[in-house]
Amino acid sequence: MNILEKIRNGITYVDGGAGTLLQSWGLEAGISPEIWNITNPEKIREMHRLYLEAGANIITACTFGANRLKFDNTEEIITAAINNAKEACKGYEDSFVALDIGPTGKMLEPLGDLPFEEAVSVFAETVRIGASAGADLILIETMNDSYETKAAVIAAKENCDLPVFVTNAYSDGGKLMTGADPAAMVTMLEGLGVDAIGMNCSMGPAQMLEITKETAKYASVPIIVNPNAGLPKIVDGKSVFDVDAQEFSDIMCDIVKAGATIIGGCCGTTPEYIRKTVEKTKNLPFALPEKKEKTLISSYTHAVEIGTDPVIIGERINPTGKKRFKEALRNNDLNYILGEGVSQHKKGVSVLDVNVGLPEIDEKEMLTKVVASLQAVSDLPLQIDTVDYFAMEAAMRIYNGKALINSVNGKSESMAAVFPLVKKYGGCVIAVTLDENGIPETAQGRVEIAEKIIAEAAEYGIGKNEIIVDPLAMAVSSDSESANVTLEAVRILNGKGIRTSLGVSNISFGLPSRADVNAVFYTMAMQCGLDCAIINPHSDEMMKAWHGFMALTGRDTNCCGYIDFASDSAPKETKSVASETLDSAIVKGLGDSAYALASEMLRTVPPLEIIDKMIIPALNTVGKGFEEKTVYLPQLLMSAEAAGKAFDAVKAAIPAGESKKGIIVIATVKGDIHDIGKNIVRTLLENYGYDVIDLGRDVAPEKVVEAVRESGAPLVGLSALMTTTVPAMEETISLLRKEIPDCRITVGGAVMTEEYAAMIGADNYSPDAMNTVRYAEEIFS
Amino acid sequence: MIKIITVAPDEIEIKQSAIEEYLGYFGAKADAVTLPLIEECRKEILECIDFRACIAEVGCCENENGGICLDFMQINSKSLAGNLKNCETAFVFAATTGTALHRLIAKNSLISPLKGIVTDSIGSAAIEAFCDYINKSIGDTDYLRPRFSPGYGDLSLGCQIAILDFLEAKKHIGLALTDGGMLTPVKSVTAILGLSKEKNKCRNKKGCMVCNRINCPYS
Repeated sequence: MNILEKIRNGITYVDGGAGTLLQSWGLEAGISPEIWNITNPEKIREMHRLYLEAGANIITACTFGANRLKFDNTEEIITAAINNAKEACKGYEDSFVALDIGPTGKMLEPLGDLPFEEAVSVFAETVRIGASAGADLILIETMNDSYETKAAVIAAKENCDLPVFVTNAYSDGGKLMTGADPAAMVTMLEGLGVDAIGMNCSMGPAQMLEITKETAKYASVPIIVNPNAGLPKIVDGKSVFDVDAQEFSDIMCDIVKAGATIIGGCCGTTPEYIRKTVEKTKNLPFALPEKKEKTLISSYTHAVEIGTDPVIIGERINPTGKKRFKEALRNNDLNYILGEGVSQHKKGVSVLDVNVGLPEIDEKEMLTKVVASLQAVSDLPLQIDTVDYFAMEAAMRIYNGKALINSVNGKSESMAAVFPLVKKYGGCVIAVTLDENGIPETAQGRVEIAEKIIAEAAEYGIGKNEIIVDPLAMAVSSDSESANVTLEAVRILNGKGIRTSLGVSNISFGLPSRADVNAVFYTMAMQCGLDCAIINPHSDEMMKAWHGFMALTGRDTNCCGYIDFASDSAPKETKSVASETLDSAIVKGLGDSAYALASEMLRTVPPLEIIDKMIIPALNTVGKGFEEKTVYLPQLLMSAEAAGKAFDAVKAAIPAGESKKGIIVIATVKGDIHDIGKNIVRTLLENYGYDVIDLGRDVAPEKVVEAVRESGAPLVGLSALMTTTVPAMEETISLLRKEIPDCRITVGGAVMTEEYAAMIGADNYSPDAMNTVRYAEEIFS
Repeated sequence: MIKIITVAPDEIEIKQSAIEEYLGYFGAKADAVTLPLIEECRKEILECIDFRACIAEVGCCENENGGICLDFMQINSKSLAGNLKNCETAFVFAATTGTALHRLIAKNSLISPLKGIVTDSIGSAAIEAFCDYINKSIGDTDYLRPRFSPGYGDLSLGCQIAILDFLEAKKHIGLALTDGGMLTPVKSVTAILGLSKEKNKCRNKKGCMVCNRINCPYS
């Protein structure tokens, strides 16, 4: 019997903790147990044997931290560990050796600095060694970050054919340290094709009972539960855990009843805990989780179910028909793109569509960059929207969760490209009802393509629940039957239990007052059973349609959601701008007034004159106050933001090539992940009319040089917060001096002083953001 | 033994004056336009902040080089040795406000730099308030030395690796170090607190980080 057969045929037992036992045998605090595989193999084998005697089936080899970030002799340790476990298992029927993989100890980007692919590579090495040494399965455990979990699973899947089990360490709030709840973890991990899912460590069995129940609501694969022996406490000067074997095994019975079928222990548990647990649970009824068939996507915090309430997918991260967005893509202006994501999030969408396709940009690079960056600022699940399959794969791989994929269609080529990716990385996929013969004119024709796509997906092992059919909304202005056909298709698909989605706004193409038509069509489609729609959440009409539908169909208890929405969207009393001048609006930080006044002024005053004679002088007044300490940083920023609004109003009217005073490159240096100070500098410089190339944070010296060379910027601003990253600043300056000697460099940051700045070769020290502006004025004068 | 401390957001008082200080008001009060923004950001923070710390009591003594010897590491820091003079035990802790706040700061900075800096400042005030809470939870603060963190005086930031490893901070509270020596999530702190038999003579409530006293008995 192999391990997969074993877990499908009865309760399977995992061993317990290693640390407590090994320490009682002389392992000193601070010494890694993994080392004992080599120095004390007989004790490691003895530990395994005690667990086997207690009834454990799965023996976790002592490889928890055996990776190249922690050890130089990874191969020696892992090979010895697997051999020790295999040696111990000899003679024990139904015993299996797990290659045990714990976290790297580093935080992955964007929260930390370990790149995702580097994490995959670290785990991959461990997996290859463990698999070739003869492990029976991979156990990825104690992971408290969903992203690191994904990296480990991908590494396991790509480097061996062994079954993969995953247990996460939940905190007392029932979530991982980086935010994921059980639904999010089940969704992502089942998407990745793991064989069993669950939890270990962090807490005792009582606290895990609730998480087990929550996991069981979503999981279709067997559930693993390996709790600690409660929480540590001091008794007679010694650290002990507060749940004894008796109590532990009693609660493990409840955990089995709640749905777990693979059980064992973690910190503080000993063979006695496992023996008692086996005794008490071995005769309990065994039932594997039933297939849930839910349509779920997830982010790094939560899952979104499609098929219950209508789901809104925000459509605004898309360059089609948007000049400003295209410009942002060409200029690598991520902040603008991310801003579109954040503003849609605020409007209440549940998913963000991400389309960054432009012929002149490298879509694979841009899509992965935008997906990763969006996940740093928004916890919404993303819809990866591209026709470039390389970009699609790259984005699905680095996405932290299980994404919605837009799209596949009925053409053989499309299905052959998309389905292997969905199978490997997980994902729900929008299936567009067109094929080699085009778009059928009838609803039935579209349904037939949908069924063809679902049948083909099944060949790859992808369930019907992972396919969301888009029966295509076509312009009603060119075919008066088009809305009827689409709605009929939605109705038929809904009747067949097939999920549906629509790009709603196509329906009104060519008509005036499009938003009104869109909203009515959207309402009709929801009434036909539409599960999700890609819409513009900034359209009040669309949001009214959704909120109204929710209230009218009993989905909005006491109409609370509708009432909140209505009160938020009620017209606000706007302050009269009559009493303000542009100057006073900027000084007071009144952005809306500044915008209105600048727009009004454009009728009579040339745009550059507005900038030079009104906006900049107003900003100067505030800047001077800041320098004299009569105005404080928040007011300075408020004025800068108001000036920014005024700039926005006049920008479009400025003749090309006349808009900017000069180019400045800014960056937080390599190794430094703090960028708040640098962002303040950027805001001020931009609103003083400079063209700022912001390279972001943790920027390598070579990248700074490259940006300066390409842009011809005569000034560079570098920021460092910590003493540990000042050497990186010095290195950047020295490379700039060597490669671009004429370039001027100003530096700032919490640890910087005038003396320090001079010592590392900077031209100027900026104690605050205004100083950078003044220095720039000097350079560009 | 490593003890884990988790505290509900409403149990930690984030003082308005501390926020204003981080915002650079130099003792002045926030203006009428900034005040509502502080309140808005404070509300957002309270919805996501996740105060967690791990702490352990360790033995400490001075080593022959004038540095300090803790149970789990030797540090050649005269500043810390001064701070821990005559202490036989010390508490070592790592504290964080969680990844959700880290992300909120990034998000709000994107919405507007002003909102970003306000969120950042409240985050700074929050972690300081949490550290004060930890101080009080240890015992009689009269006998505790001022909190001393890597980066103060000559105590190198490099020793955070040993502190985090010893406390298993990544596992217990999700706190890690970058290669550049930075704590992540942001708004996290590591610190050492000496426990003395004599009453603490330091009256600077803000601790060593902001104190410039010359001839301090504890540095």
